[in-house]
Amino acid sequence: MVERIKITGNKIVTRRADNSISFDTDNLYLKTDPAGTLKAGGYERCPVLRGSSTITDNAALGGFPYLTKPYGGAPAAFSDYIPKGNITLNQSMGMPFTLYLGYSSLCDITQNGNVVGNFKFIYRSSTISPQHLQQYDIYVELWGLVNITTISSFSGGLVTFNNPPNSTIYNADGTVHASPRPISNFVCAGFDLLYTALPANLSIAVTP
Amino acid sequence: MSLNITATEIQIQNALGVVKFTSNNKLVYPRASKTGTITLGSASVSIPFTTMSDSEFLSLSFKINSCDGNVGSALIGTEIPANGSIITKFYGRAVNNTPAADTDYMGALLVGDQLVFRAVKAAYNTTSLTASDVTTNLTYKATIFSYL
Repeated sequence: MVERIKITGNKIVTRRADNSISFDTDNLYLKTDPAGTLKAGGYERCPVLRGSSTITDNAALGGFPYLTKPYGGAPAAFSDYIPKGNITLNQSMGMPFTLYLGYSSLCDITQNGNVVGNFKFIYRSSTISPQHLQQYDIYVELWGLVNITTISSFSGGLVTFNNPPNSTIYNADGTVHASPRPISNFVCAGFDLLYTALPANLSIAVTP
Repeated sequence: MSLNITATEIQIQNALGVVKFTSNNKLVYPRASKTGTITLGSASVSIPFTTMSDSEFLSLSFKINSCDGNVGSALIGTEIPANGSIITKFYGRAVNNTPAADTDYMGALLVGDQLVFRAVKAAYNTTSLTASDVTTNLTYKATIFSYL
C-alpha cells in the first residue's frame, strides 16, 4: 500500500502507507497568519511588584527571571566578560567608561543562533566620590544601555556607559537619589548581567 | 470541497467555497516535546532539550505540585501557560509605617538546547534581583512547534 490522496465532493483525505489518515479537510488546523489572533511562542513576563513607600512594577529589572552570569563582586569574573577591561574589585573608575563585550561570553544565551533580548549591566558601588555621599548607601545602576540586537553579529563590541540620563542613581532602599550628580568615580563591588527576553509571538489562525 | 492548482499556488476550499488554506500558508505542527518534574529553589535548573530553528517556537506550561510561596501554593494542580515568568510569592507589608512589597517569581527559557528554569526575588529595598527563597516542585511541558 502506498500513500494516497482521495478527493471527493466534500472532503480531501490523505492516508499514510499503513492506511492511517494523515490529513483530513474536515479537521481544523493551525496555520501561520499575520492577521491571526492566536499568539504563541512569545515570552511574557509577570508583574513584579516591589518597593518601599512607592510600590511599582519592577520593569527596570526586566521582569524576567533569567539572570545569567551573576557576579557578586568576584574580581576574576570580570575577565570573562570584559577581556579588554581593567576592572577589579576596589578599583575606581571614571565615567563614562567603555567595556568590551566578547562573543564567547554572550553566545551561550543565544536562541537559534540569534540573541533575543536585552542586557542590563548593574553595578553596585560600595563607596563613592564625592565623599559626602555616604558609604554603602548608593547603588549605581546602569540600565537599558545595551540592546543586544545592535551587536547581534557578535564579533564583540564596545559599549560605553555614561552618566545620567543613561544611568540612574538609587539609594539603598531602591528610591531614586534626590540629588544625582555626575559621578567622578566609583568603586565597583558587584556585577550582574541581566537578560531579558523579548516577546516574539507568532500570529497563527485556525483554518476554517 | 475543491482543490485548485495554479502555477503559483495550491488552494483548498471547503464545501462553502471558503479558502481553508493555501500552499502559501504554513501549517503548524509539534516537532519535539518534553515533560518532566523538577524542584526549583534558589539555584537554576537546566534540562537538556533541543535547539530551535528560526521557523519554530516554544510553548511551555507549568503545573505546580507544591510550593511554599503564597501565590504558587494557590496554583497547585493548575496547568499554567508560562512562556516567561509567573509569580510564586508576593509579600506586601508595612516597613517603618510605609507600605513595602517583595515579589518572588520564576520562569524558564530555552537557551541553546537547554531549558533553563530560574527563580529570583525582587526585594523591596534593593534594585537588583536576589535568589528566591521559595521552593517550587512543578511538572513542565515544553513543546517546540514548527511551521516549515
